Amino acid sequence: MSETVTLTIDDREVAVPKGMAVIEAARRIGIEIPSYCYHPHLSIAGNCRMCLVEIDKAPKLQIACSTQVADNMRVRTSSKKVLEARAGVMEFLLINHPLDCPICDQAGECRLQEYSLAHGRGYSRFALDKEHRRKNVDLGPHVVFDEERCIKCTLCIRFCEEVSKTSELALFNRGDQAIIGTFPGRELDNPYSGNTVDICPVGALTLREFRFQSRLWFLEQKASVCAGCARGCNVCLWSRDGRIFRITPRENAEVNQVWICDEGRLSYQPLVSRERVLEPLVAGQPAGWKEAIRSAAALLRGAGKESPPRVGVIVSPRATLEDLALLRRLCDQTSATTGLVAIERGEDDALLIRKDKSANWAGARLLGFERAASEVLQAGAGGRLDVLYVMEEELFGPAASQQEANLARAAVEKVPALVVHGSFRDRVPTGAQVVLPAAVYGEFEGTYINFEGRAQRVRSAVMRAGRCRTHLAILASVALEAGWGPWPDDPASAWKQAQELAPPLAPVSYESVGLRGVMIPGKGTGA
Amino acid sequence: MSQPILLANIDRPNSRALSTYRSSGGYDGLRRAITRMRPEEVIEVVKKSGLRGRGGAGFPTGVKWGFVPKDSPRPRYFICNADESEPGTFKDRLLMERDPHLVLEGIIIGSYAVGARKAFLYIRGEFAGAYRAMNEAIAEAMDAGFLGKRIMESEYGLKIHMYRGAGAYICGEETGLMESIEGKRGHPRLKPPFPAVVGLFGCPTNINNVETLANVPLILRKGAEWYAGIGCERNTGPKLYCLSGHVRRPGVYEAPLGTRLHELIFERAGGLWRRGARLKAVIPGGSSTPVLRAKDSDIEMDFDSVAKAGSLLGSAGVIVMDDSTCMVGALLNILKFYAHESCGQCTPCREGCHWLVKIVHAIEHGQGNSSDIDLVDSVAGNIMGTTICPLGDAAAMPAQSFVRLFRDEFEMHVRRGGCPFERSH
Repeated sequence: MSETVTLTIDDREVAVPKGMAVIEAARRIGIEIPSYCYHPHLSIAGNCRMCLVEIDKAPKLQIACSTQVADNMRVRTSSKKVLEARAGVMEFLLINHPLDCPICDQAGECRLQEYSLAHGRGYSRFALDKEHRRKNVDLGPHVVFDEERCIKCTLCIRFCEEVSKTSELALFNRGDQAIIGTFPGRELDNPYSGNTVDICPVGALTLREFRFQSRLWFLEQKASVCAGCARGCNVCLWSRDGRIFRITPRENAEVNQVWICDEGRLSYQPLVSRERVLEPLVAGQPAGWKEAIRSAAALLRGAGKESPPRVGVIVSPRATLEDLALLRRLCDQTSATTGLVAIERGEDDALLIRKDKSANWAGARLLGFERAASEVLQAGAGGRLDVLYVMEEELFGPAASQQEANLARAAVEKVPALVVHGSFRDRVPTGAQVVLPAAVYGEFEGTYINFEGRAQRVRSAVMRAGRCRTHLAILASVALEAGWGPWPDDPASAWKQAQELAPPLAPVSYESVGLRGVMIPGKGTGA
Repeated sequence: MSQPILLANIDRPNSRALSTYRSSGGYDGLRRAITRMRPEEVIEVVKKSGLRGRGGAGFPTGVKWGFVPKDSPRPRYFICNADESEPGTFKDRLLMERDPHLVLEGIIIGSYAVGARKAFLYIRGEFAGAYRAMNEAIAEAMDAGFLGKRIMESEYGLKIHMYRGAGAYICGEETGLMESIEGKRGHPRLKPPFPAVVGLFGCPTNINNVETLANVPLILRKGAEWYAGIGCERNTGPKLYCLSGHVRRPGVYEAPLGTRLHELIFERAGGLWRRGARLKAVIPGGSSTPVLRAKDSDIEMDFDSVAKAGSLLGSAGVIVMDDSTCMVGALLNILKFYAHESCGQCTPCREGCHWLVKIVHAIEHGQGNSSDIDLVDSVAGNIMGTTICPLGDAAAMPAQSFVRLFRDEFEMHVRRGGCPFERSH
């Protein structure tokens, strides 16, 4: 039980927990106190002086970010004295600012712009020469620093000290020569460096990969989750013209607070740069969907419900729960033997990064896909399979272990028919009988379950490329053609199938997953 | 003229030696405190003496000592601020160079009073002589049993660490100083929490100026009532005044608090240095305090009287300016100092101090216009009271007072397109 304190902010009473900062208490009742250097997840620096407010009995204005609430405290956030101080601070921040908004990537999400409009004078009393600084300094592989735009709020320094715990950055020199920089011989290359760009309230730190790529106001935002590892950090996908331009973190205290790793941040790049499989292939030749589906269905049906099984299915731990529910049914229809591909790299770290690079490993386990891919591949390599149905093309990529890669090669040689859900050209083996072009991250919607058992919604941000279809649509088409169904081809309906297959999902409706995700009750889905 | 109290020893031969100091009652105050008084009683005596901090703010020393929590599980620290850097101030240096044991005894008594077993002496790096003197004094005091594990056979022990500054003015600000001792950039901290609760290394810490502590042994030796009888009401005790500028005999002068400023300038310091010169302005408390016009300057030099006259006693660094002084140039000189010494941490000081320099530089060199004069006042006003530490105010106060009290000179610069004074610098 935490103690409550009642105070008055701008003549409105508010009760908040003891120890809270005035700036947060004000936020609770919808009063925004402007600030640059305050960040709820970092230590208090109190250096920008933008959040000065008037507090009864205090002789001077106090900063709202470091002043704790107290009983009967009276705070004024927009008295004449406060407004004057704020305008003064705004003016100070702008005297040496280059005012190069027309070429600045921050334009549109810049607090200097926002607060100038709200609290600035609108004209400059500074008629002298500005201090000029370097405009294009590489702090590290992803972060570019414009020294002139920096307001020395030190958020980036504090992030590197307190969150990434790598301490590459510091403030150098004194007075108006004070400047952010990396320690000699170091660069800002920690796995989370891109977050400094997000928290930079001005255009001083920009992301090399996003610099000069697009004006913000041309981009559409979509709330999603990152598919880069088993954490499932909450993100926003920013897209335009069928292309993702950037990924930024979205707050979720239960998952990623407000951070993401650089790998996740840049995970849209291969989607744009790698060559996609854009149309179905049958026996290596371009074909229509009808023909491709018919071929795949015929192969599956032809193998029959044998025991021991003649169909092997390689399951993707990166497909959505809905996709996997249909795949489960497909496996049941064909009595297939199944194997799950493990995609692992590096190690778990103390912050967000998981070595399990699959977004839905826990979901796959929940639907009963438990055996390793190598079992299926062994059966294939041993000539015991008629059809190998591969949903996870990473089986043929560098993520697979050496042992699995060897087995996969042998299996492809031996199994008479290979059906692949293919997304990228360099993954699909040439010997595949049927290649079904599958949508990639950003092109589909569905649910992942992260390593902690939290169901989260991944959303589409762009149109599917070429003639690609979602795994869900492909599986539903195959089932229809094979005479097993109609099966649902929309995620919400497929979710119901998943619920039937996995009892822990029963109390969780598709809609309830929402923007923040929901824990699967009594989760028995160890990753 | 009264007998010097604080400076009683400084002209004696071998004034730095422990034997000299002992021969005039040195360490008797410490003996009384440690052998006959509990720490609370020491604090009570200092409270009763009315001693106010000599570092600039004039806060009652005994009260400050009382703020250090007695029940903290953490160690308590005591700091002597010897980073004397305010332009126009050179009293602490004299005390440390000539009578180091007086300062040392003050530190030990203060440490005993707040229950600190470790004290730090943060000394300005340029003070090589004072550093040597204090070092020798510490060694002598250790040998004589005034410092160390069991002081005068009591249960109380104290170790003193000397820490030399590296030349930043801001490290004289108490929390900047603590950061500096901790090995960090000298960035002043946000307050609260105050050092008494969260100070050096996150522990309860008391910090006093050199001169403040030099008063303490005398209070313990001769009693609070004797001490309170010196000076005037609420402003008790002797004070060291540093006279510099256009006076015949610049230097440190001791006089009771409340001594008239003109007595200090015209009698003690020998008046103005040039025949026929007339007094134009006086800065009474170090370069950060508001300037006074000659006609308003014959005031009593104590904390309250100077404040009533619109300035501050500050460090009692009295800077005297005669009628050959260009007030625009003088302000420019002051502002350059604060702009250079601004730590760059918070916005108004970092940006504002340099802006002020630029405007006043333009006025002094004939590039200014009449609106610039109001701009100085306005920019300084935007710095006042909005910064983390008092350095911003230290630049803003002279700026506002120079412009307000000597506006005609600023206007003359603008009208004439340059400085009408002969340049002496």
